[in-house]
Amino acid sequence: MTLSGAGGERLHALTAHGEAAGLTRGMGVADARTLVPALKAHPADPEGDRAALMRLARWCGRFSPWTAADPGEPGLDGVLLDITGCARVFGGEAALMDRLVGEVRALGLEAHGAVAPTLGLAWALARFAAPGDARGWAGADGPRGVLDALPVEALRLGDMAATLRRFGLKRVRDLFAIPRADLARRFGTDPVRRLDQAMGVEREVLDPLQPRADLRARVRYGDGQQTLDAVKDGAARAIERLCAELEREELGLTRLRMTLYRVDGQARDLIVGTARPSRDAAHLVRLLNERLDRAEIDIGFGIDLFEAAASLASPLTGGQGDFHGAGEAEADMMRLADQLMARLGREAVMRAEAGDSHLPERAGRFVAMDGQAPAWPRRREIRPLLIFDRPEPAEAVAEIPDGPPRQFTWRRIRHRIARAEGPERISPEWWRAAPGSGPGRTRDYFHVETEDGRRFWLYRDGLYGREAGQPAWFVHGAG
Amino acid sequence: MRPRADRHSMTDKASKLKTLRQEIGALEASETRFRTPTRLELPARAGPVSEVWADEEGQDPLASFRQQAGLHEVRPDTYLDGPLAFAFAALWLAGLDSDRPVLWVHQAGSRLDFGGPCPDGLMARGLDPRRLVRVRPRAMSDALWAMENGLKAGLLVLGEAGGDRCDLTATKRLHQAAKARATSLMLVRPHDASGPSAALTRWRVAPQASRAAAYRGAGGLPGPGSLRLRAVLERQRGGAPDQFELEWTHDPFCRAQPAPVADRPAAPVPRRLTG
Repeated sequence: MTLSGAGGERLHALTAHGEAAGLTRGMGVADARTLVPALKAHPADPEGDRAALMRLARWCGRFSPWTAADPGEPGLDGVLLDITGCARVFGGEAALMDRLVGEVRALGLEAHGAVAPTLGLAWALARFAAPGDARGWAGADGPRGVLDALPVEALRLGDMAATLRRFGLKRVRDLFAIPRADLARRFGTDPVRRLDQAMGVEREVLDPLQPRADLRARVRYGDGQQTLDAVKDGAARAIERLCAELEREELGLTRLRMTLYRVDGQARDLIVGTARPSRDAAHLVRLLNERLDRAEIDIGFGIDLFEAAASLASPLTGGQGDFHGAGEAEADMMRLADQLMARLGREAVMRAEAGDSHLPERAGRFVAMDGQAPAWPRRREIRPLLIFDRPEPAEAVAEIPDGPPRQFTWRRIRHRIARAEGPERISPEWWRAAPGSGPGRTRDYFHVETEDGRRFWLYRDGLYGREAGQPAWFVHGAG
Repeated sequence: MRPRADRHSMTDKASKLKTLRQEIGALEASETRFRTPTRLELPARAGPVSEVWADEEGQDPLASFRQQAGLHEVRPDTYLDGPLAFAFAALWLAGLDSDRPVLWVHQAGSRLDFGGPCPDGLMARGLDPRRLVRVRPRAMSDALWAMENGLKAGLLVLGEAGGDRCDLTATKRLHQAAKARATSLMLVRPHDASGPSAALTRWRVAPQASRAAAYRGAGGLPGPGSLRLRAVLERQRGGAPDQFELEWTHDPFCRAQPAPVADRPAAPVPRRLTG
């Protein structure tokens, strides 16, 4: 095989016969022909090779669901398989390997295999130990004693291996003899990292060919479910199966997608969210039924396939509450919030959130319910019990323009003030001003009590004579 | 064979109904009398100061009513006292000394729209805003549904029933849901609400001028003192109507004073202290 590169056509890959005749990779084609006049050269096809390797990786899916192609130098291409838990299906690791190597060779490929506890060690063994093994594959229970004797190329270092060789470091054991710090200083962090990976000190995970699919569960009926109750029943069974799956995987879902497939081929998705990960089937069924009641689904000739999928899931281990049941009340609250949101909409269910601001409407806002809020800060300002979503305009009369009010008219009733406390002056936040509009106006807040004993919280918007326009009065809270 | 089996099930059903009726009767009989009011104890736990109502003797006269799980109702004396009714309801629940979350249900754009809870205000009065879940449904039926489910989940509920949908059947459902989980629902109704209700207690609240604070407030007016109100117990299940003058007190040690000292007229405040 040849590949055109710097200096014309060069040899890219060789057969065993070619190597025996003294040819090496990277040699010019013209030079090679002088050594072996009968050389048969074909242009290489790296793209095709990669595609073929991907096909092989996919084919290996019959031995393990976790496979990945591992392209390398010619002759060093590989396929990685995570066979954790798979060996017992084939009657042990040895039987699995015999069969794997045998079947790959039956495809017409020259193949060697290796089993090892780390990716790095398996990679090294398959390339440097297995070719000498009569079985065609090598195995090791751990890196001790096995890794030492291998050449430095076995560490997946690429060109670095040649550099190491030049320093006389031929075997992995030579690297072990050098202190780690020196090794890293002289050759960079690569050799250290690869050693750690082969030894299993540093974690390395296989990036599988097939992405993990959403967890899903299906329930199929011979003929369509035609009433709403029957549909609910089918959906509940699908959710129960899904929850059993989630339990096994130690996951909890925060979004459930229920797909209802109609007999005539139409499908309808319903999505239910939860505020925190859950795999409580009864709770999820309740939420979904709430949606089913309101969604006005056209059942048509019936629904024969229910598919429940956890489209958003996160780890959830044993759901035991606090020691003294404090978690219980919170869990109750979250379950209720899910239920309320399913019926009333996300924006109708809120929790309080403390904002870092002096403006009352920002200091205590209400936001969508999403898990527990952090501890509430203690503030010294006195606040009323009720606060209006938007301040209501009032007409107030004060003795002097920048003094406290004497009476005010709110909701068309005039109130005479008997007791008052204030002002509490709150300046606008100039850094929040919207472009184009002014920065807002200074507010002077007063707690007042009318002659009848009614209590209000009102403010004057704007400083008299200093900020533009006439000051206006607003009632912002009560109680 | 078949008719005999049917008759058998009929008698079975009748006897079951009879036992159920007896059980319900026993349940209803047990709540006809209230316990005598007990003295208040000082809040022992740290954290927000748990505030309490106090009458002239420093006792909480509502304690016995507040401890009863079930539905309670309050309505303002006039339209303008709406905020006071909400304050009464919020403080009723805040003082229950429970860690249960509080569900605050108020309908968007109803007649009783006097704003929502102010988290900082509640925090200062002993209700941690983290316990608060606020729900704003658009329809009265949704509001009632939310209240009932809140009670079923074991939460304390502060609800508002501005419409006509909250009838005897609805209140009965709410009361049963609250009793089943030993929790309370404080329902704020409009000032002109009439009609039957299954509430344990029904209150009407009117404002009263507070005792002036011992310092001069804004503009030469006295500063507002503690919140005072008159609460009329219009109806209570198995009891007579009553009425109370209440003051919301902030200081947990006020009741530690000996009665003669507490009851004497306030000493004149030296002029120089007040400016």
